[in-house]
Amino acid sequence: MKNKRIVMSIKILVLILCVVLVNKIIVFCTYERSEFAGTVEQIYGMNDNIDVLLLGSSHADVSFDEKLLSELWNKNVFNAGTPVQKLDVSYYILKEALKTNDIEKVYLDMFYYMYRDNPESRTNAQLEFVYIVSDEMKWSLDKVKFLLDACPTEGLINGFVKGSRDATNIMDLETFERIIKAKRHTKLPEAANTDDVISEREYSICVRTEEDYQLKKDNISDYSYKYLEKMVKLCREENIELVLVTTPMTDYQLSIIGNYDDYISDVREFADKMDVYYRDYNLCKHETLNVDEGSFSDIHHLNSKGTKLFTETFVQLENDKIKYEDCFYDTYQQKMQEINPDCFGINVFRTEEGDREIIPVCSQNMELDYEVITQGESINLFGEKRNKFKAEEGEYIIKVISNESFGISKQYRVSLGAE
Amino acid sequence: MLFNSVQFGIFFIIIFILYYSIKKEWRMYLLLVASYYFYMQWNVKYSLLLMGITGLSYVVGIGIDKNEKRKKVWLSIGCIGSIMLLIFFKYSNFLIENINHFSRGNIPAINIILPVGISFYTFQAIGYMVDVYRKDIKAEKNICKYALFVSYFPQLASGPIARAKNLFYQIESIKETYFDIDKVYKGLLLMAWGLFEKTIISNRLSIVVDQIYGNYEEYGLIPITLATILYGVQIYCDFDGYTNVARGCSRVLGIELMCNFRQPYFSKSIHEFWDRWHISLSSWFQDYLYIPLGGNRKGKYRKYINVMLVFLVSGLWHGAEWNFLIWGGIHGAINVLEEIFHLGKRKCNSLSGKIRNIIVTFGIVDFAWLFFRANDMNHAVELIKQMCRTTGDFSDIIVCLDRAQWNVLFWGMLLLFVVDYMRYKGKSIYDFLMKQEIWFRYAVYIGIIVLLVYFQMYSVTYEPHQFIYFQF
Repeated sequence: MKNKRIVMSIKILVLILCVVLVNKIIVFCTYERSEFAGTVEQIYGMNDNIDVLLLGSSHADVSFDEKLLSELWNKNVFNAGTPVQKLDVSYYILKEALKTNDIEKVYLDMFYYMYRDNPESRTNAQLEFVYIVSDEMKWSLDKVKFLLDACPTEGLINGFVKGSRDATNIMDLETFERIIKAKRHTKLPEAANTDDVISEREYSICVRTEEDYQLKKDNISDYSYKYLEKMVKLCREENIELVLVTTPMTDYQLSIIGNYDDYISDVREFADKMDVYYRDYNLCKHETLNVDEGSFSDIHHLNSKGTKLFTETFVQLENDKIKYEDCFYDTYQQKMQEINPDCFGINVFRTEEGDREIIPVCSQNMELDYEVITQGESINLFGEKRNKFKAEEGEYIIKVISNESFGISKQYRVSLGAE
Repeated sequence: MLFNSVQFGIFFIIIFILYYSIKKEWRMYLLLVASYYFYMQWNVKYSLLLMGITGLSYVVGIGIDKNEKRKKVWLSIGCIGSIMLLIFFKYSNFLIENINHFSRGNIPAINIILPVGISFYTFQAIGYMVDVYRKDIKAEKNICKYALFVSYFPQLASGPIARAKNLFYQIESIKETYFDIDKVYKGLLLMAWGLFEKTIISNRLSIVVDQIYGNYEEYGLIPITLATILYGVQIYCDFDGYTNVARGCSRVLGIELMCNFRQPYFSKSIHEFWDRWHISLSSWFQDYLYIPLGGNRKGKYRKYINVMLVFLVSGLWHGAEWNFLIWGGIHGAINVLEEIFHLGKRKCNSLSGKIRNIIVTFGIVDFAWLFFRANDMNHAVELIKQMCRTTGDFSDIIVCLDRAQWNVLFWGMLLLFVVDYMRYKGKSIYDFLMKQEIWFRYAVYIGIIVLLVYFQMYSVTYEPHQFIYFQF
């Protein structure tokens, strides 16, 4: 009987070892390291060289110039921003960083769109950005807790078993060959901040405003609040100053998503309750921080010019060289009322009748005139506000002009599709 | 809690450990608690309905047993009560919709969610009451044992519909069941096969079928026909997969549930198809509807009417929509035609003849699946209209999945064919495996684990695909 049990145990052990070996082979043959990976690996390599940690999504990643901050502050600043970084991911990056670094300060970006989800609703695409962090974490209880929390129940296998995510790649010879060849290149290309300037590119949304990007009733889910509180608690225990920030976005973005002040007040309420600082740089006065259309690569990411500008201002404010009270509006609505009237952009919608309608995105209500030009010729406009036109697929230039008192004259290059 | 979910995996492991650790006398109660817990994961309120049907049929069973003179009354109360509950939850909105349509009325729809498995456990309870009436079994006095019979979790949500005689005996026997490693192996293999059918084949095919059926206006004869053929495979893998997981779980616990599918797509007639497809349901209809209606004992015309009635009811059982009725009607009509022209049981000795019959049968079954898969009658009619168009071609199907997924599907379906063909020829896969050398067996075990862990597909967005028959 005892012998039978020993034999059975050996058989099970051999089976497990075989499965582990097969797993290694499958991972080698099918796993492609994401271009966004490398953050946690770099953190492990820092060895007590991080004084200030920046966390958050792509907004944190592109808005802060890590080298410039390090220079101006004379401290070691590490930008751990990664695309689609959720609060649970931020929390565990911080935990990993604390294992080998004595961090003084943490800045956490609070992009309004990022924290409304909960793990059960996460898609494969969103989970990829959880894996770029979890895959690099050393195996520990923290990693297990992270995956158990961050992955939907049905995604746990993919979370824990790296090879299961893309195992089907082994069934496509071309993909398989490409992955094997890519293994020869071990260094990841460095992500560079783009020099794209938004005003030179198409700047309108040609479909009904994406519902998903609109502000919702709960912009921060209960799950995200749970991790915010955990982060506050962790920082307190480790004697770290935590500062919540929202990096700049275009006023175009902030004007089309609903009442941005609702979101600001939610975050402020949390910050007051938890006794942490919160600074929304979208409320910054133009005299202090003037990030115009030329500072953005798209409607919510700064380009390299914008990053430099923002980083310098950020340092000045953090060093208290400029007083906060003088530099920020209290609400976004106040900002819209006090700035010079401006048109931030246009949306071109397709109406039910099949025509196109121009809806301007402005700081306040104003009368505007439009001119629509295609192939060098103006198109007839109609409708009560003379903002509708008939158009097929193609390239158009839309000019927006206000009366003299507002002094607005802008033009946009727009690509209209068949839909 | 779906069988192809991690939650169920954890649940089953816990039940398995407890089942073989606790005193044997407690096993029945453990399974009863587990079954209700399993059911309540969908909706806690559903369990009240389950308790209601359990209580009604339990009392009726005892009433029939004790009152010989009034047993018909008791049976009527039990059957009518159970069927009324089923009609209320499943068919009330269908009835309201049709009354409104024909009378131009405006009766509001009732806000009801269809309880998972109601069609199955209601039929199971009705079968029990009729068996007691016919004196095939004695009424069960132990309420817990009876409650377990109705709610036994492996077969609660989607069958197979168990017969009282078989299941009561086995529930009684679990007090003496020892841990049988052979049965556990067989059970686990069967579960693995079921999960393979569901997560490797069925879920992948559903992406293709949903794309074509959901956007049918863009497709014509070839894409819709191909999608319907693939749907035939999808529904088989889905349903057989579920049944295999159910039977496998149950076998691990020492209880054998009836086989529900016997390689139905190798059938050479519709008559044979229904001997091989959803066997527990077709045998239930035979014993509890067809025979009480008179079966074939009242002349051939009455027999044809009875056959049509049974299939129409079967169609409606599957869904409260006209397209399900048409689906049932097609099967009934073909069955009757086979009877009239003696096609159903005719033996064919040539290989080419057998292949022809298999293909023709599959073609008829698959055409009927179009109605089954359609959302409603309008959808089915539109699909048939689209099939008269030449829009689209084979490439519309190909683009639904990438090359790697198609490769997985191809090899998966090939394996399915091989295994099903072996079983069709009466070979036991388990016996075949046990006769092989250890390295081969290990390769198979590793292959199973690799397939289920690395090639499983829940869905594109991580929602475990519901089993199709859960809507019943």
